[in-house]
Amino acid sequence: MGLESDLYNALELSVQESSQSKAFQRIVKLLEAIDDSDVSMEDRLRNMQAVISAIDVDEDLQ
Amino acid sequence: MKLTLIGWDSRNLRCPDMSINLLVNNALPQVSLIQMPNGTGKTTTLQLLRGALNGTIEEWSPNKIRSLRRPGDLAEEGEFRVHLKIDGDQLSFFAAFDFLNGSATFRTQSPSTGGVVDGYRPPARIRRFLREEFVSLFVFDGELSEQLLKNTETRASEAIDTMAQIYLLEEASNSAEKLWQSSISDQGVKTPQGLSQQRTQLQKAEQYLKQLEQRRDSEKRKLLSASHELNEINVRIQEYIGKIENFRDEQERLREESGRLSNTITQVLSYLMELSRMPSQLHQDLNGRLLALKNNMDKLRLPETTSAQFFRELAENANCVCGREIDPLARQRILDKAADYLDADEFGLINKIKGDIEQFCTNSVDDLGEIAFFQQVESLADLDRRQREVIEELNNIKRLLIEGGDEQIQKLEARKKELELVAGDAQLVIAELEKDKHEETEKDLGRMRSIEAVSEKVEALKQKVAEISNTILLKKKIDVLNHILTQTMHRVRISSKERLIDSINQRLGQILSNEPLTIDRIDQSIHLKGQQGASVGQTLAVGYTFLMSVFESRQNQFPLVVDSPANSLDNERRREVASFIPKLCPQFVAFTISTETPGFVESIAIHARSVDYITIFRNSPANDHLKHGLPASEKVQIGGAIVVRDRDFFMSFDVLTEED
Repeated sequence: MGLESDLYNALELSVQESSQSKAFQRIVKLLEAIDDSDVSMEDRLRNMQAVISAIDVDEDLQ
Repeated sequence: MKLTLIGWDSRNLRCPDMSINLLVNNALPQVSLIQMPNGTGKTTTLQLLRGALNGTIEEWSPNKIRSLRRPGDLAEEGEFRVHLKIDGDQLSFFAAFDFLNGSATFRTQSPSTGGVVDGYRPPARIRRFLREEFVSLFVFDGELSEQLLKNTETRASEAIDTMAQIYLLEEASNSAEKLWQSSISDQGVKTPQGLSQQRTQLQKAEQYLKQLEQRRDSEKRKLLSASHELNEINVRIQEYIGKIENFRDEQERLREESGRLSNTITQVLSYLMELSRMPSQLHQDLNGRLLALKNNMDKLRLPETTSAQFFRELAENANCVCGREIDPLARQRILDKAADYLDADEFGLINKIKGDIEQFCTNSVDDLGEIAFFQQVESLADLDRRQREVIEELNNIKRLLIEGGDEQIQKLEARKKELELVAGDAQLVIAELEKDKHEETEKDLGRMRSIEAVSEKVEALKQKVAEISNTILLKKKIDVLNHILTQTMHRVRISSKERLIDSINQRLGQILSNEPLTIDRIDQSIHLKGQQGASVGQTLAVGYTFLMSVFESRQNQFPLVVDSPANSLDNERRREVASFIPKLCPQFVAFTISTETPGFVESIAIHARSVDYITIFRNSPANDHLKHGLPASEKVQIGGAIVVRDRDFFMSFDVLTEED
């Protein structure tokens, strides 16, 4: 269980590049939940929502 | 993580019944050669091995499952078991086939799952290695190597993606897409332009609601002012008439009578309301039916949860509630009979209903208030009639004065009429504006008059604007997440491929020292440096090296379970391939046919640390002649199949195809 180091490192670089470091651990948790077939669909959805809420975007919608 | 294949069992399936244990004296040989003539069920066995390992058997179609039944066999059930070791821990999957239903079920045996459990439940740490696409990388036929180097195939990149967990990134992206789709499924608008239009609509609706509210408030002020002035005018008219001697006493009398009538009407109405709340008093039929309901109810009982304790405590007393002594016999009797008086808790409510009927209903028709009720209704009508007459008589006084040319009363009455019109109009407008939303007939917001209906529209528009705003925000966030996932995917592929190419080239240098061969790049497939194609031997060398490097890139070890590894090779190439396989594979299980023995089998025996030779053929009359050459009985297992573990028998076995 857990993420391969290549994946982990690449993800860390990608979130830094996108200025979304705050979301890193939540994306890791989401990927681990996807990899674990014991995790329910509801929990996966909760993990996805946690990722979404951790991503910062410009909220000006005009 | 080290995965080894220990063996398998099959029963009532197309492949003959057999129990294969790859261990020899509790040790696993590096190479297990399993010779099965064509038609013995080799393909079925490999298909079952793959399906049992990756857990897809349960998803197979009913037709596919029924096709596993041996032709002509009437067995209703079949079974396949595969046994593995994961880092030394045993793991077995049992697939049970129901040929009648065309279905299959799994059971899993593993110390980590607490023995045998229903379903396909591999331990979490190996689940991703037992995915369908991954299992097909270590249980395969001879064509896989060719596919890995073929431009039009994607097996090489798929293998790398699986090992590098790219599928997690793809599934995360799919989940984000699902979240997005579910958030817009009930929403037409999802763009900033659409949001702007919705906001304009909302602003217009809010303005319109404000106009309606202002109009209502203005009409209420008008009504209030007119009502005040009307009251004043009424007082002034009353005072004015009071000053005219001819009418003063008459007005006074009529006003007093009107006051008395109002009081009496109020009292009668209260009395009638009181009676209306007691249906049994309204009509003898209602009274009779309520009494019938009570009589039809069960014998009075007590709610058990709240009353059982009463009987227990009563039985413990020295004396009964009636004063008599409670002896042991009476005590037992109370406890035994208590159940007859106890029932479900609902009886509390039923008892209350019965009590109320008893209290309010009467058995005597004479006691009914029915007559009184109708008398009161009649008297109310009389009182109302008289009240109207009195008002009319008061109006007559004013009429007489107006007709007599009294200017003062004329002015007051004219003003009163004006005010009544103003108040009436205001009341109509207020009623229209304050009508229930369900009474609104207009669909167009700009023509609606019900403030409640317009408010509801405004709230709905606010909600919609909020939802669209959230959705657009969600879309922006999902785009960011997808960008991160795509970038990660790109990076992982580059780093995994770079490392893999280094590892493969190093191994190729070792196993093909006489024929240097290097990999240039891997995109969808593997590309060799300086050459377009590759010989069959080179293809196999690159394919096996690639697979073992993929497996071992993360310190993992897997067996290679291969169908006909050398069938398409000439003897020279067979010797070459047989020489490098033991250098690459910790466990190599090959399903062979007799034509592969020359070159390949002989050569692999020289290079492998240990080789086990297993020959399998059906135990059928057509194969009776083969039984004559069987070795000693400890090397032979006889069941649905004859399984022989003997090198000499293997080498001399010369049956290419079995007659079914």
